[in-house]
Amino acid sequence: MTDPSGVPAVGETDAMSAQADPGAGHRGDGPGDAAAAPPEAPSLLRRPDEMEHETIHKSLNAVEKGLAERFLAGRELAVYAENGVRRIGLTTARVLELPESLRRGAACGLPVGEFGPDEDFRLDLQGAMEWARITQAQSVRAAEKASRLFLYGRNLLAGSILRHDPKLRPGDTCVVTNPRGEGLGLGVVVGKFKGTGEAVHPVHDLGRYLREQDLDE
Amino acid sequence: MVDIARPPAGPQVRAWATKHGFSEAFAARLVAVSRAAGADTPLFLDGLLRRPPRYLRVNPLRASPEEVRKRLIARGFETSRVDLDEHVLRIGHAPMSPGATQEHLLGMTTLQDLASASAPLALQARPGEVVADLAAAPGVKSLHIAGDMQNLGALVCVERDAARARALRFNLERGGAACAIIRTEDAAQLPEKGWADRVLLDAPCTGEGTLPKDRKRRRMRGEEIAELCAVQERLLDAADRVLRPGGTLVYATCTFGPEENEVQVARLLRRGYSMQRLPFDRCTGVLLGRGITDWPGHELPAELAHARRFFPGIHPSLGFFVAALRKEDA
Repeated sequence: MTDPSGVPAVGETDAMSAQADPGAGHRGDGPGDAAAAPPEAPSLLRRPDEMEHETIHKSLNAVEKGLAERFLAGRELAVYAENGVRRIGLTTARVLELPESLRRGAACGLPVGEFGPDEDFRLDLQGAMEWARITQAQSVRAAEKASRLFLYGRNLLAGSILRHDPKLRPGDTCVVTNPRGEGLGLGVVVGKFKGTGEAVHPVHDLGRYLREQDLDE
Repeated sequence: MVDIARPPAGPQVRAWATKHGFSEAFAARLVAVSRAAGADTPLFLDGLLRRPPRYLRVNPLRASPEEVRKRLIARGFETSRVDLDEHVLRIGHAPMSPGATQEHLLGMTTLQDLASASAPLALQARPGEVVADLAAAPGVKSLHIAGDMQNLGALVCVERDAARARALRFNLERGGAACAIIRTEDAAQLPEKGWADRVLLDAPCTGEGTLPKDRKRRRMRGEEIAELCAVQERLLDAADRVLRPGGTLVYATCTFGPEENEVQVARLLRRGYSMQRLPFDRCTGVLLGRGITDWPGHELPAELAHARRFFPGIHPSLGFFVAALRKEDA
């Protein structure tokens, strides 16, 4: 699906594409590092190159004018490779000024997405959280009880959706929020937003932090 | 190899140890520590048998304490503030696990013991600085530091254990710690020297301070202390290497034994470090224990008294040791 300007806006090939297969991305550090480092060298956490920068900005701004700037909110973009995937994080200028040896092999504290197989920008879980803070585009707002169930990996039924972006169509990836508009995860639209049937299937949700790990001291 | 003190156990100590399932040698050490730190020994021993209250800390990168408190009250929680840290809430009645709320998953809160908050408080990280957290998992203190830095600057979080590094990543992600990077390696392998303005080493330790919630630790052996002391020495050397001259090092453990605490800090004092006063001296109105300066088998400088100790039963927390040091200018 494309918007009138012809820029990918919604669906499987743009910023809202969910990270369904973390191992499917491109390998390596990107154009700037491939020649300098031996193949087995750990990845360098670095600024995006010109093409990567443009891909991310275009992808976000195609959804809503000025969205890229709001998404960054004064922070910097970082790119680093991990498990064969080029990941994208939000970071600070000071991090990017650290000696290269400290940035090599490091992961970003706030990852927000990755580059997909077609060099497209894909949001991940925390990217969706950042998204929900700045726009309601491509979003579905669930009622309180449905929000709780979504965090346990349950589907959203049409009757439990308080509001949704009218541009969303079956097959589109969407950000799911609670009644306050706080991001809870990513889903895929599977049906109509009217009636009683299933409307959204979960893809990633914040409940994974509980399901997969003990976070506490 | 560090000398491990083995104070004798008198009849009263032996009786207490037998009654509560502690080894006699360990009980005698606990009594000796409390006396050396000027703590009320009966209160302390009683505190080792009972769980302290639960706490959560509000992540200022995601929400304010007032907002979180209102939201938790609406969910049926009872919470109250504590004087040590304005972002910490003591949990009273809890209708569900505080780690399973939406607020927790949204990164607004972390669960930690009250005393744990003292290490980042002692570090006093500021926006724009370069800070290293050398044994960072599970990342609750790292997130506290990122909050103090207002997400400005660079926070290098280091964790050797890959499984624990995963918890570190999850906590930093949830909390929105954009200023942080994660290195999964032994801190002793860190590249470069003198790049950090501040270093936190909350060192791996025997964990005696967690006795109130972990009965298995009641039969601690001296050999375990010696093993951990070797790890602590190695990590402190790493901390010394990455800290810039004039920078601040905070050393903390959740254990009582002076061999793992004051004796380790004394090594750095002999290298020209100096003790710094901590920005707190009490917890919930009760004065904290002072650092120990008299312990069998070790010569400990008087300035170690500036370190602080949390004692279960005396303070409403698990046991904890924290010291702040300044590295000599070049």
